[in-house]
Amino acid sequence: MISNKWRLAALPILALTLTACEPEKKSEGGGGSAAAASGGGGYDWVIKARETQTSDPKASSAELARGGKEAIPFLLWQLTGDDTPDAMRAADAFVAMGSDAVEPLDKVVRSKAAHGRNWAIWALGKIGATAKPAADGIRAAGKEAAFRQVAAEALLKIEK
Amino acid sequence: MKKIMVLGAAVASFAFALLVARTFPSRPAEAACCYFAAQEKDINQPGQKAFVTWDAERKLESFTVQPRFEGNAMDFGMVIPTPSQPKLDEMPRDFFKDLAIYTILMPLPQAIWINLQSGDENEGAYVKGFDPEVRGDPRARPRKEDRGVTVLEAGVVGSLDYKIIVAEQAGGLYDWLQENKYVYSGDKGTLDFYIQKKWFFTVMKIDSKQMKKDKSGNYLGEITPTRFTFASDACVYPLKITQLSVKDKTDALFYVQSSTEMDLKDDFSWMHSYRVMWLTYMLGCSANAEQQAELQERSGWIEARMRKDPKFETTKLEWARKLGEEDLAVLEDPLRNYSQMGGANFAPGDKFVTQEEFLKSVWEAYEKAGGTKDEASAKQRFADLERTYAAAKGSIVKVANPAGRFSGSQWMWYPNREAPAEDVKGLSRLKGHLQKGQWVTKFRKILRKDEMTDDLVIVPVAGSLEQEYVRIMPTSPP
Repeated sequence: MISNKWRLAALPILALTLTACEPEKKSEGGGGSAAAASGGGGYDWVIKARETQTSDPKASSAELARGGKEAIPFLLWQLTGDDTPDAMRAADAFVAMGSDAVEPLDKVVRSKAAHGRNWAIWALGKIGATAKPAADGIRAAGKEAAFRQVAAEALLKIEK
Repeated sequence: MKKIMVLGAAVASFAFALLVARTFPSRPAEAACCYFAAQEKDINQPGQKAFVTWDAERKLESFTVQPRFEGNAMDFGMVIPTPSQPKLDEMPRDFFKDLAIYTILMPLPQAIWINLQSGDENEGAYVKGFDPEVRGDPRARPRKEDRGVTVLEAGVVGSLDYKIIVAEQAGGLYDWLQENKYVYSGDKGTLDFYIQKKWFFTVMKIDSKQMKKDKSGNYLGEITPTRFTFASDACVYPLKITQLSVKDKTDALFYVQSSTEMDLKDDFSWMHSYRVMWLTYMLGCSANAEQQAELQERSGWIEARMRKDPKFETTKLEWARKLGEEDLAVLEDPLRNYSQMGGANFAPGDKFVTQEEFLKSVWEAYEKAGGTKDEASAKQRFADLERTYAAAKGSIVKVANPAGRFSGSQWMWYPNREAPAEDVKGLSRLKGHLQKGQWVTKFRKILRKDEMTDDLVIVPVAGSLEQEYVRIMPTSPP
């Protein structure tokens, strides 16, 4: 039987062990780990993106992309909103993200969202050959008059 | 050899003999947009319409006509003279509707002006390999009948029963038509006009086995178009035979496909009205001295002609184009390519861009310029741009050299031409009938009875004067 004295001593050791075993957050694709990149909390990339928006819009989009997979829900929200400049910024961020962006963009293309499907198609075209899994969705969307042009351009880039 | 184009006489006589004594009620005027105008002016109204092809090298002509009738099929008949024995073929039922949709004029391009800062803010129809020496059913033997009429061929095309005949004298032919129940509302003198020229006659009536009847026993009214193909020294439209059937005047619409742009001769040329219209438009965009002189001369000619004959009407050119890849692409994928005619009509060097590329370019320029204090207003103007120049409504083009253009704008807006999707889809039926490298010229002439004393002659336009016409002009033709 373990005495209470040893249980109490074990607690800090247990805590340290658990901390040491905590998996490190890895970045995938083009984005970086939000925590690793910013060197701080998980939301710094949002703040930095907003800080650089006016002075350097391209850098702002790059910051959003650095949010990696964490940024995707936020970027999807921007992409599918009715504020086109915000949607364009989100689209740029998705392009910078690369392959990680393909699946969520594909979902937007195939959705019934009132806004943003055209920007999702545009971004997939810019991503290029990596976006091939999304080609069928783009082709289907291209049957709608509103997306015919952007879909044709995107497919040219994806399938060349 | 003097090239005189003669367009098959059958069209005119065909339409008129068909009409008999009836007049067709005109439909009430519909909305002014191009599609509805085409429905009315190009499909429903013309007293006669024909799609003609002319091969000057092979001396081969064809024309396609579509009769309309209402009421008792016993009243229906057609007598169509041609300079040689024709071969008859059935054409697609909606052929003329498809042609009308295909040749709807496109809207003019407009400059797009942007200033987010300040708030201010555009085959041929003839048969390949057709051997003019081989005609009709080889099993049929020419059969001389009474009255000096010889039947060369008999058959059925679509819902029409036909015979191709030659005649020795007009009286005999006239009696033969009566006895064989072919309705002909003209006179013997007109028949004699063609007999003297040694022309052939195709006589047609409804094949009662083919047509459906309504409850009162009348035949229901649509007959598929028929194409007549025949050898000819020239391209003629036999106007004379239709003269007696015309009460006052008739509206004749022609689509002519040939290796050159085509026109009617002399006073009937569409050049008179078209050049005045085009030069007037150019005057607004600074016509040069030579063009101004031509405008004066042509306007003077029209005025003089109308002083001499106040009821004179010029022939109107309605569409003209030498068909290229992009034009034929409309037939391959109509829904995709119809609205901008395959994109063939942008100025050289100009580049089509998607709306997304355009908007990005505009917003990036705005941000680079430092934006404005009132971003909400800029965003509102930006949203207006997005709505006005929506991808579904037209195409945006980036201009290669804005300084060299009248508007000076970096961007141009090419609005789509529009027609219902179902009608656009049907344009694929024109495949094989419209040929790459050939001109299609569409013109219309209101012909008075007293202008129909001779056959119409269709002639090629001189190469230096050929001019395409695919976009609406802001001025009307005289």
